[in-house]
Amino acid sequence: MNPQYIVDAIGTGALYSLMTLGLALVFSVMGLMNFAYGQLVMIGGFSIILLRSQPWWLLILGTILVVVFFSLLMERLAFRPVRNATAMTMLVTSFALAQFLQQLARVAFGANPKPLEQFSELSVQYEFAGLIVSRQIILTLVTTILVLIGLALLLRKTNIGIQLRASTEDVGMAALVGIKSNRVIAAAFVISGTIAAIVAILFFATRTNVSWSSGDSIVLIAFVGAVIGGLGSMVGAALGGFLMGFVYTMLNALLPMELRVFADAFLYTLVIMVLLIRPGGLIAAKGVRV
Amino acid sequence: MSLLELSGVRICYGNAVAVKALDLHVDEGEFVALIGHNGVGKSSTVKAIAGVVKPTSGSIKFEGNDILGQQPGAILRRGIAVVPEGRRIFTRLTVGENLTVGGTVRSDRVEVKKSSAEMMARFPVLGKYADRMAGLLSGGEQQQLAIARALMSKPRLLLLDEPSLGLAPQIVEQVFDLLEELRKQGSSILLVEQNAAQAIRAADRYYLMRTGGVIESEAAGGDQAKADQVESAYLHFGKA
Ligand SMILES: Nc1ncnc2c1ncn2[C@@H]1O[C@H](COP(=O)(O)OP(=O)(O)O)[C@@H](O)[C@H]1O
Ligand SMILES: [Mg+2]
Repeated sequence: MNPQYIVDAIGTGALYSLMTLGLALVFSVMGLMNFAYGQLVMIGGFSIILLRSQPWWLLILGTILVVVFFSLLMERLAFRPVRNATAMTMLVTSFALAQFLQQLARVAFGANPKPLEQFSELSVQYEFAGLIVSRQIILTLVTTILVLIGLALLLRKTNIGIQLRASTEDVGMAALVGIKSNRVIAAAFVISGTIAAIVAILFFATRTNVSWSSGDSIVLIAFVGAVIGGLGSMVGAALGGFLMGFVYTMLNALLPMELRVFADAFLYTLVIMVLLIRPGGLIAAKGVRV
Repeated sequence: MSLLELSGVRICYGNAVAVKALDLHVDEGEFVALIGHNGVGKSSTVKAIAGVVKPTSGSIKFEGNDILGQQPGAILRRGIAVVPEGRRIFTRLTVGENLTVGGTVRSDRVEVKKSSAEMMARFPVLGKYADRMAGLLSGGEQQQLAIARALMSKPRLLLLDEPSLGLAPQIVEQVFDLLEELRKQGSSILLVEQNAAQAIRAADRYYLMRTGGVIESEAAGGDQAKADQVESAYLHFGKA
């Protein structure tokens, strides 16, 4: 086997683990599987197109601000009114929202994919011990590690982080100690939005266009990653997402050419096997409802 | 004026009436016990006071202000802290973080840190395991943590729902000693218990609750004979 595949698989795994974290965080706080999360990444993509000619720091900052704004807007306008409704109602709301945002993007940017000028500086490649590593992969790895460290610090060292973890475990008790759920949930959407923006930057850095349907595949990967990781556990989510990306890339590389079109089928068969062996996911959090 | 005053409180879950018409009060500095068998509505009463369930009628006043229908956070800010049934400590937070979270309603973070250190001095086991996940503590240690967490808000009234449940006898003794000590320091306490004899012995006054309402209320004040008498009547009532 060519070890080069492993480098690529690690890069994809890192990106998928970020995607999964953003989705899993909101789920763990309010039991909402936000299927409009992929559309946040899509919004991030269009924001990159609009900011493409700006300096890199402005592009990053602007994209994060735009996506966080939409994330908060989602929470306030769509999810807060159904917060105490059944899980099914919340789920349907998130599907409806995903559709709405897609159609909105289609109206605003057209049905055809919008071309995105390549980030040629990211395709620069280095050679380490016979392996070719692009800047894009290094950037993805470094960013993922930084986000993981940042998230861990935020959740452990800040008051809002501790309150967020408390709410994750027992919302009712959190209310009894005076934690304001509105604040905690808004914080979760800010973090989730920030992660979606970062995912958008890393993801579209290797694409040539952005389309209204760009978010679709992302949310599916994140969802499955969160489920195999064990819903409600952040470490599990990061791990589950990573495995999704890693295994998928390896399958695409290693399967014989004629079977490669079935890579998805193989991946999801593996997912089902994992869930048969460990129905609660790899790292099961207790008392989680799906 | 009583510190806490419930009158004609009625609590329903859908069509089922859990508490019919409850009158109860706790004065400043008083230790009151609310005893009764499983299912008579003790926890529902605690939840109503804490703002977790909303009574269908009646009134709940704290320091003369109507608190019925307010959110749990708002009621806590007024000075009522709860040690809920089953303790409900945050098992995936460290002991120290549980204490921090208990001080959420206080604005001065430095003061909260100070209180946290005080709690750890007062409950040495909490200091010893400050950085350990709270879920790893024993039942008795978790109960101490639940009480310390409630005290972190500097409450004017402490509500405890069956703090002795599931604990070994000598640990239960420790919990009652602690309540005794809190009362001596001037705390106002409303203790819900199935453990009637011990609660009556410890409290200044008790209410005996029967399905849907209070049937008896008397000064207890450490009266051993009285405690035994109620206990036997109560047990008898339970068997009937
Ligand atoms: N959430 C609920 N939904 C429906 N019925 C409830 C609920 N909580 C309590 N009850 C009912 O209300 C009554 C009183 O319960 P509770 O207040 O828990 O009693 P206690 O604490 O004295 O054991 C019981 O009959 C119980 O089944
Ligand atoms: Mg009870």
